[in-house]
Amino acid sequence: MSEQTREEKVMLYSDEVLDNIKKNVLSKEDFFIEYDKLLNSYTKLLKRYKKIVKLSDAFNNSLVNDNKEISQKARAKIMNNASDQRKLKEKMAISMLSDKKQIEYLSKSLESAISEIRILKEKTKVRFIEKNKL
Amino acid sequence: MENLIISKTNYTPDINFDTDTGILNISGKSYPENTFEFYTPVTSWIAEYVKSTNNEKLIFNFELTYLNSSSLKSYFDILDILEESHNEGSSIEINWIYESDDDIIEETGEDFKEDFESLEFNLIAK
Repeated sequence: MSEQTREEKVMLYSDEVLDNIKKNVLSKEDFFIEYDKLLNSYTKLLKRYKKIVKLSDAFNNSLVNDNKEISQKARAKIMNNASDQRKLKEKMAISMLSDKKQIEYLSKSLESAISEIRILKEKTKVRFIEKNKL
Repeated sequence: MENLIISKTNYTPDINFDTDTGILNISGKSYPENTFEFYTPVTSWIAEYVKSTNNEKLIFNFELTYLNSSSLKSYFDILDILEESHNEGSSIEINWIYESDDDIIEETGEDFKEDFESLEFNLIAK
């Protein structure tokens, strides 16, 4: 069985007092004493209720602010990532361009080397024939 | 009495009540889906435990970082039980532990301390 809360105890006590008033067993003096006790209890409960509301609002506001901060950081990170990605793409494009130029240069060099080899081969062939003639 | 151990989740605190040492720790966040369902066994256990002890000193360490409104209400209920037990002669020490830059948890501790004047209630900044 769960424990009675303070609110439940105050309500139960109020019922008892009300019963005693109905039964006319309370003197006027006792009535004022009981009334004062109940008023004190209600005042304490109201104070506690206000504290709960105040603290709950404070926790809620801090949560909202934390969420806002997190979403701002996440947005900033996404933006940074996008900008980093753009920079990377630009670098890759430059690098690809330079690779293309390099390939063109190497192809031309290879072609000229092949043609030089061909000429040298011809020259060697001619020299060989002339040597054999002699 | 057996120890009460409840592991923390994303929404509920870690609860470790060691009956051998008389040291009871609650730490973490508290915003359960059903707060009363979560705390009813805890308050019942505490109520039964404080009744069963022979006036040995009990130390309650609360190290909470977030409480929703219904959790706040549950802690008022727990402290009501402890205050009642203290008024009946038990020796109870409450340590409300918080990060020094956490104003809200500090304020929560101050509000509890104000409400439970008769308890030995220590506010401890980390």
